[in-house]
Amino acid sequence: MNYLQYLLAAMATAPSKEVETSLEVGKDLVEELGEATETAAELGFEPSRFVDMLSYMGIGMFIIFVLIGVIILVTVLTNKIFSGNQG
Amino acid sequence: MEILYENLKAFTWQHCVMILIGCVLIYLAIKKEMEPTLLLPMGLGTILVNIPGSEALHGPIEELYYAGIANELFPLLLFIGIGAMIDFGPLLTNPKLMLFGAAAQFGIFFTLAMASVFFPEIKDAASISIIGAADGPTSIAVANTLKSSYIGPITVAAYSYMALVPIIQPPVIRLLTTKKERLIRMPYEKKSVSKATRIMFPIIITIVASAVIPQATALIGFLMFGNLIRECGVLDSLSETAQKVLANLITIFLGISVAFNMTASQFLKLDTLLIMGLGLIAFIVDTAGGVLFAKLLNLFSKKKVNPMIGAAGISAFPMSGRIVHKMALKEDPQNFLLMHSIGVNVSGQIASVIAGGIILGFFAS
Repeated sequence: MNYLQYLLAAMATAPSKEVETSLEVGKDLVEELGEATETAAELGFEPSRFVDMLSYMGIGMFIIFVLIGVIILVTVLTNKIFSGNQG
Repeated sequence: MEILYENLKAFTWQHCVMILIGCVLIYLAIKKEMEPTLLLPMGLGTILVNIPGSEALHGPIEELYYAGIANELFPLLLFIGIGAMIDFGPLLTNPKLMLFGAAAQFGIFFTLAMASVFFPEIKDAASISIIGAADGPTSIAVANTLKSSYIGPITVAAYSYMALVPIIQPPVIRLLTTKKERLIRMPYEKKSVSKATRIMFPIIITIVASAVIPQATALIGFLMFGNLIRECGVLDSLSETAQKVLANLITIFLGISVAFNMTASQFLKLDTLLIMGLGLIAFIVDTAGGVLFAKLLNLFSKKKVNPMIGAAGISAFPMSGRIVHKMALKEDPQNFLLMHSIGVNVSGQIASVIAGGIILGFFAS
């Protein structure tokens, strides 16, 4: 679990996240001045971003499988412990 | 006399198109019975907010939106009702089925990578990817938390594709499986599950998932709270209220307040078409992920599983489970996969909420 938290923390401090955080802070300031806008950025086409996001894909699926694996183990244990107490 | 046609002059072709879209949603809800509980209020709400000068937009619909969608309250309350409706029994008798639910979330992360190619804002790409969760409340909650600009199209895509699962999934399943694989039988051994296990299960999931992904606590917690009300055995009236009154009430409010994002200026853009396309990709890759994972397991397992059950790992409950069961019966009238496919389907509900939490964990500031 420490390793998973480390992975999540590492993703949270990746350079692209810092830029987005700065943008979010800027946006909050604009909203406070009463000039809130919700316009989306224009569409683009950057195929290289697909490769950049593969790490999220790998880590995300890894986390899901680990969590589901833990839940399965605990469920099997619970079934065994409480198997005598039906209904 | 001018007052009679003054507002008519304010109608643009965009308003007309959105009103037509609203009518189409209502038609699909009533005539085709596609997710009527959501598509009908969304359809009428779309009409209400696209009348020029509509007081509904900046009146009650806006109030409902900020009261329940902007703060994620409505999706979470709906989760209580959904949790109360779910019977985890088939899953608890064979917990390994949860692996297929996990595999079927692959579409979310694949779509995240695809969406990021077109949408420069990561919050938008991440929100679009969650369409693959095949779960309306999760899609709304994640898109809202990430402050995506596309909540309206994302919601329409999520609910529309959930309703189209009987059309989307079978061709993908047939493409990825052989006749021989579709004929694999999986005998069901009926085992009873203790009441203690049924009570412990939602608590365990809440603790395990939330400890690793705190951002998923609200989503998973409310879902499991609903299930705990159902299984504890001492709150029958609350369980019934959650399953019926609460779920129906929140569905009405949710459906109509989502329309706040269905104005012409927000919806009629190339982005919307792209979102619909990416949503379809998410569903297809989800289905493929589950089926291919089952085939992979068969390479190493003596006891073969019918790979079709992998497709039931998406969160469109119980439709996906029933589709897989019907496909198996069509191939072999003696092949009953229902208990397995429903077990996988239910696990997909859990896995999709976890996936939503992971997306929030990655991208919510």
